[in-house]
Amino acid sequence: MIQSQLLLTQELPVIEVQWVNPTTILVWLVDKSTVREYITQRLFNVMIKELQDTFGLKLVNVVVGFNEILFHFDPNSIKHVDDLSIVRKIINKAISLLQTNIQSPLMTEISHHRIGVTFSENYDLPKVAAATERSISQVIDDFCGLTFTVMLNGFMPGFPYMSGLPDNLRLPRLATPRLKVPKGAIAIAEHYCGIYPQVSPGGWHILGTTEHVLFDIRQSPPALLQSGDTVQFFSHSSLHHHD
Amino acid sequence: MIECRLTEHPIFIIDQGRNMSGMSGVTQSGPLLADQYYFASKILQQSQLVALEISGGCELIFHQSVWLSICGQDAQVTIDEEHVSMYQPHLSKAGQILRIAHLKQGTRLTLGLKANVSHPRYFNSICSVYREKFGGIAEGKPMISGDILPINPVFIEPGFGLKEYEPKCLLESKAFEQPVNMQDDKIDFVPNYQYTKFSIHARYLFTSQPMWMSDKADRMGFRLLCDTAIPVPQQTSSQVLALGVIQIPPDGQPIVMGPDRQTHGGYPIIGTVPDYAISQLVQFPVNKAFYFRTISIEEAIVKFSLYQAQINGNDCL
Repeated sequence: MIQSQLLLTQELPVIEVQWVNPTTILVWLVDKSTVREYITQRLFNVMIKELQDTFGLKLVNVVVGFNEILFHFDPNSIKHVDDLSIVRKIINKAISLLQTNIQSPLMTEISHHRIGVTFSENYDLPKVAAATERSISQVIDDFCGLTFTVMLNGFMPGFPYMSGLPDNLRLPRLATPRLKVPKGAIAIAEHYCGIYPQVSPGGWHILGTTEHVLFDIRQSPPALLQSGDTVQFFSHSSLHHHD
Repeated sequence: MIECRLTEHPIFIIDQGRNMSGMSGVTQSGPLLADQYYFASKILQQSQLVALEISGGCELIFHQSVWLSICGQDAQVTIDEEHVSMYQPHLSKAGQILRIAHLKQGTRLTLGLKANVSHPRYFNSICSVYREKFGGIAEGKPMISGDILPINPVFIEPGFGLKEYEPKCLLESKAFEQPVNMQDDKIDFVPNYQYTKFSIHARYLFTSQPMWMSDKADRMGFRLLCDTAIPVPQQTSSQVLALGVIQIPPDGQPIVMGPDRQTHGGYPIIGTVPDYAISQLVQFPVNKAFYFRTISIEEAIVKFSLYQAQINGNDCL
């Protein structure tokens, strides 16, 4: 089996590496429960940067997940054994960096974003308030007091999965998904907060909407929020004074 | 420019696929029939080849001269009523009409064009993905009847192709042992992702019973049908999707994910269909049964290397 397993100390992750098809390497955390999300995210960012620097154009795509990353290679220039060996070395290097920088953030380029929200009772705000046993204004105040970290873009172009939702705001997805979630909807479900860049079906609890453009194909990169970026929301509306 | 006068099915404009799009949540796209695409690219000596993926009868008018090559299973293809051979370079002259007769269900062809397309490139690609609303003719749309595709033909070498591409050579190359046999009723699959979380009964059902391609098959994914639903383990969080992953949704009917798949998905995955076998899978007619054959990743890599060698290593080409 072409794979490697890296046993680590402290709360660092156990990582496996494997070709899942002849052009794609999957790197994943074996036991995610032992690793905090921000450590995973930092480790992934360092690995991606190192792999891009090393492989250049040979690395044609990267997809980041919550506990895993896919590295897709140019089918015309793959050397399976050598490439896997290089990926292993880079993972070891990233983990070493993480071990020596465990108390301080690793140096990756991140941005902080403040995003205005028009909170609205037309969607799920009243139900979220009822389910979390607080007033609508408390939900809004609590939500705007949080700092979220972008874990990844997925589901649709520019849709950010953001961690940082406290236990007392975590709710399961809607039993029946909406067929049409509006563009710019800011929504929560389970551990995450997300923003819908386009109209889409969706099963998350909508708190409000934003005019922020999350994805513009003419920009580089087209997605506004990148993995590792931090986000705070502020209220545009005066709704929370009305209840 | 190329004018699509008539087409039974939408024609997808493709190239090698998008570059570094995954971190923006954007699908990679690229050729569905990679073997056909890379053969066309080799025949036309064109990197980042622009190609049309055709799944039905159509009629195209070339308003400029352009070199082209059609790759795929045998089909009735003519230019101005003259028969066109597959896997050969052809110079289509301005005003000529290319016709492809009705194709058998499941048959797909790749029409490579030695030309650049002036449309905007996104992530270094012109692939059309309608769901994402960019690429292709405009806003991700494929070509349909009446559409026009502006092209800039490439004529770097005068007399391109005629000496280098003797038909004899190409016919010989097609006789080489094929790593992907279109007549085989077995599709390779590599167990990975959540394979070990599936019960032994589920794994047995996956490889022991016949599968059929459903009519719900497109570049995003191919829904398969089987008589006995495959029991599904619990899966709660989304995960990244490689090309060819086989998701098993709650109804127990497998879905093989294609080049236009979403970047993430939440259904348990039993394994992957290797890149080289996807061409074979997607061309199975709806009524023809097939089985999944378990192979190791090492075997898949060896087959892939043979497949790449067949495309790239033949000096005749």
